[in-house]
This record gives sequence, structure tokens and C-alpha cells, in this order.
Amino acid sequence: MMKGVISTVEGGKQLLTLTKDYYLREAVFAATHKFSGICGIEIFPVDEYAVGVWLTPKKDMTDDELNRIAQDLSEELVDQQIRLDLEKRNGWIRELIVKQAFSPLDNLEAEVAKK
Amino acid sequence: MSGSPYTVMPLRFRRMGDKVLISGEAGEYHFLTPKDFHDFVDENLPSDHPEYFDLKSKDFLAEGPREVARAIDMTATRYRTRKHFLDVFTSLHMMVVTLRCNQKCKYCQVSCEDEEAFKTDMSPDTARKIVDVIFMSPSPDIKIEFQGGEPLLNWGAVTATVEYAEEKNQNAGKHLSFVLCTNLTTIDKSQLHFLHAHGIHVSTSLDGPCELHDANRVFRIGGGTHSTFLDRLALARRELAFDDVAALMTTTMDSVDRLKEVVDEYVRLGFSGVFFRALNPYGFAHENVTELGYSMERFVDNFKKGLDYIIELNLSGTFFIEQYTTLLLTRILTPFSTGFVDLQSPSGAGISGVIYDFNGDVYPADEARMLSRMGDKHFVMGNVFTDSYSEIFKGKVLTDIVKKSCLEIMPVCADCVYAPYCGADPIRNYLETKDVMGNRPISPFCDKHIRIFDHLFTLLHNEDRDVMDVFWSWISRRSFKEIRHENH
Repeated sequence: MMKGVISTVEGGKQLLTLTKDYYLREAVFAATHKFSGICGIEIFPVDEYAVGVWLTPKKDMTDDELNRIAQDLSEELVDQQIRLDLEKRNGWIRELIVKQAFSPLDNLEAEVAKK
Repeated sequence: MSGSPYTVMPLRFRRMGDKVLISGEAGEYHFLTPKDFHDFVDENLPSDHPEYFDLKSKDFLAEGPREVARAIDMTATRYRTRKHFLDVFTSLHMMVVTLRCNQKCKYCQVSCEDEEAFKTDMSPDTARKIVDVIFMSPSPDIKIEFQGGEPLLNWGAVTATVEYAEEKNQNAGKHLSFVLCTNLTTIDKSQLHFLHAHGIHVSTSLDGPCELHDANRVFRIGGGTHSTFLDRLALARRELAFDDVAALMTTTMDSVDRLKEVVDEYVRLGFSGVFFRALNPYGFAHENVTELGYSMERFVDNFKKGLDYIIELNLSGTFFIEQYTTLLLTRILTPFSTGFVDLQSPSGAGISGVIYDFNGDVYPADEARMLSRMGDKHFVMGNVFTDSYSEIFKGKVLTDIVKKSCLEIMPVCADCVYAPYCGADPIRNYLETKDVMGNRPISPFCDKHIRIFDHLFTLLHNEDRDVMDVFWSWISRRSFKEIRHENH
């Protein structure tokens, strides 16, 4: 399991406990959304430091398969957090690219220098 | 800006085995090891690292504000080129001149009507009214495509349209072209002479050898159509230029494991390519999905085998392309907009292509009309008799589609490494989820494209010289020999 993730199995269901220090709410929602068609997912607050994600197997899903999904979800959480971090750093560049493409700026260098 | 030695430009990424694929806003791509990827996005990649220069040359990183501004400008130019289809607006105009058909194919997506259902014929007056609307399009290119049913069964509407459009174009001066989508089985010499005289191209359907073709493509009165199709194909090729007749196939449960045989039939009949087209879940195909359908995993597994086979054919001297692969590779390996209506962001439905039903109703895509035939009128943009051009093309239906089909803002798509090359299918999304935006985790459209892109990018990463030369020969429509001679 990844950093900030504790995985436990209870009654055929898998529980991921995610430390808020590592994962923002947006990353948790984006990552779990990708798995929403694969297994049952329920997100709930654990305490002020952690959020929990219950993974419930679909019909005929084995424990191994659910465990694999939990692993994949843990990796996806990391990737989503990286995406958020990148967006925070360079989201303004993406906006400038689109602006420049369809309505070129008078002084692009000055716009960049402002950031 | 941060105090680090470089700025990471906007990118998307996907882990693929022991590599991480990254793509930029305008479609540049690069493979990194996971360690290099993390060093790179953490702004810890040293400037003497072997990947550093490649990342810089592809504008994935930029040093200092001036370089960032230059990279933004370059990427914006490429981005604008990729979105060129937005500039010209609607150029493809499809007209359903009748729903009648002499065939009753098991997967017919429009639930065609029998040959006596004359009430579904477009009148010449309606056809001319539609042409009036078509010529209000700002696009300098106008392609009118006749669809059905079988358009040959309402030949009067076809000729009325062509003659009136040509007359109008004497003043409009647009680049006007026509395509007739026909099963060919009723075509005669006089019709072919008309097509030839007006430079009309033919798009027909061929599902493979006799057994596969006749499994689904049957006459309404019974019996397979393959033999008649071959006779009329030969006649059409004698009367028109050989390459004026193109064919499309639809993959069903009968053919999904037998794409090699489909390719062999296309080669045998002298076609220069095939489009491995998956089943669309509309009309009869929707009703018969248990009999005809298959999983996307199975489709793409066979797509890959078919692609391998076609590559081998090219390597042994037969120029033959897989058209969907060529389309995707053109998007991946060149900066150009490909204009494929079904895979654009925002969706090309309504803004690149539009379809007019026999009664003058206007839909953003053929699938929307099919949905209407299935009883859901959600996507009716208007009617050429009762609504103005502005009401049709600036109305709520099209506005809603455009707003909700930009991959850049769609959940999952927005983060997808393949977003620069992919597109949205709002009609299919609506069919599956009752939401134009759709739900990617359960979307067969997304499943199919992820699998196909994964395969193509694996091939690109492998950089096999033969495969790459075949790909470039498809993109540039030149022989493998020419490409090989040029590259090596």
C-alpha cells in the first residue's frame, strides 16, 4: 500500500483509510470515481485527520480481485494527487495557452512575468 | 513563478508497465521511467540528464519566464491548429432522403422501413429547403451525404438536391461535394451516369466474405446480398472511377473473431483499406444486441490481431490501411486537425456534421436521429420549415452539446493522457446514462479508446522500424517502399 493509506478487510469488504496530510478531497473523489463502475464505493469521514473508503465487491468478485482493486485505487490516489499538485503549479499556463490560441494576448511575456 | 530551474508545462500522464507516458496540451508525447517522471514533476531533473533536452525540445519544461512565454505561444499555435475544425463550422450535411430499404440488415441502426413506406420519403421541396439551410453554413466546404434507408429508392430527392445545390453554388462558390451512401444492390446505369456526371462519390457496406456479409446483410424479401453486391460493385467501378467507391464494415459477433477474413475480402476486391468499425447500439442493433454484440475487450483484442495482419500485408508489398488507426496516428504524430466528426473535442455533432431527416427535422448526428427513431426526441435541433438557421444552430440542443463535450472539462477525460487525440460522443453518453456528459468508468466508448490508444502507444514506444514505416506510409498515403527509401 502507498504512503498515507491503511488497508483492512472486514466482512468481505475492503476499507482504505486515507491520511488527509497526503490526499486532498479532490484527489479522493477523482480517484474513487474511476472505480465507481467496478465495485461499490462509499466515502466517509473517519476523524479530522483521515477519510475512509469502503470498497464493496460486486457479484462473483473474489477477495483477491477486490484486493487488487484496492491496490489500483491506492496508486490512482497518488496519481490524482500529483495531478492536483501540478494543476496548482501550472494551471495558469494551461489557461494562457487556450487564451493565446483563440484570443492572442498583447504581451504574453508580461502575463507570464506576473505569475 | 517558482524559484526552481525550470517550469513544468501542463501535461497529462498514464503509467504503462515500466514507463510513464506523458502528453502535452497540443499532443506532444514522451515516455519516461517512473523515477525520471517523479524527478521531472518534482522539478528535480538535472539539466544534464539524458531526458532533459527531449523534454525541453517538446515543451514539457521551460527555463525562465521568457522560455515559458515562448513555449505557451508555440503550444497555443499547435492547439489552435488541432482545433481548426471549430473555425469552419458545419461542413458535413447528411440528408436522409428515405427510410425505405430493400434490405433488412440485422444491425440496421436506423430501423429502416419496408419498400412501401413512401411516407418516409423526402419530397423534392423538402430537399431544396434543406439545401437552402445548408448554404447558410459559413463553411467554405460543403459535403452533402445522402443516407437512408436506401437513398436510391428515392432517387428524385437525390437528383433534386444535387441539381439545386449546384445551382445555388454558382453564386456561393463553395467547395461542394456529394457522397451517396448506398447498399448498391439496386443501382442501375442511368443512376451511375448521373453520379459520374456530378462527381458524386459512393460509400457502401461490405462486411467481409459471402458468409460474413450474408450473415447480417440480407434482402427484405429474404436471401443474402453478397452476390448482388459484387455484381453492382463491378458495374459501379466500370462507370465511375475505381476509387470513387469506398466501403465500410460493421463488426458483429459473427465477424469479431474473423477480421483477417474481412481484410482478405477487401484486398481481393481491390479496396485500399478497411475501417474496423464496432457495432453501434442503435435501432435493430440495439434490439439484437444479445445476438450481435460482444465486449470491447474482445473487439479490441481482435482489432489488434487484425492490425498486425494488415501491417504484415504492407510489409509484404500490399498497400492497405486500417483507417481508424490511420486517423488516430495522424492525430498523435502530426499537428493537424483530422476533421473526424465522431471523435472531436468539443464533439463534432452539429458543429462539424449535421443530419436532416426526411421531414426536415435536424439532428446533430445520425445516432441522434436513430435515438429519435427509438422514441427519444431529446436531440431534435429544429426543423427547416419552422425554425431559422440561427434557431437551429444556436439553440439549446447544440449549445448544451458543445458545453458538455469538451474533454478538457469532462470528468476522467480531463486527466486522460489521450485527451489531445480523443473526442466525446455525447449522443452515446446520453443513450447510456441519460446524461450528455456521460460516465466514463462504465463507458464502452472510453473502454474501447483507452485499449486502442494503449496498443498504439505501445507500438510507438517499441519503435520497430518496419511498423513505424508502415504507419508513416498510411499517414502520408505513400507506399511503404517510398517511405523506407526516404527514411533509411
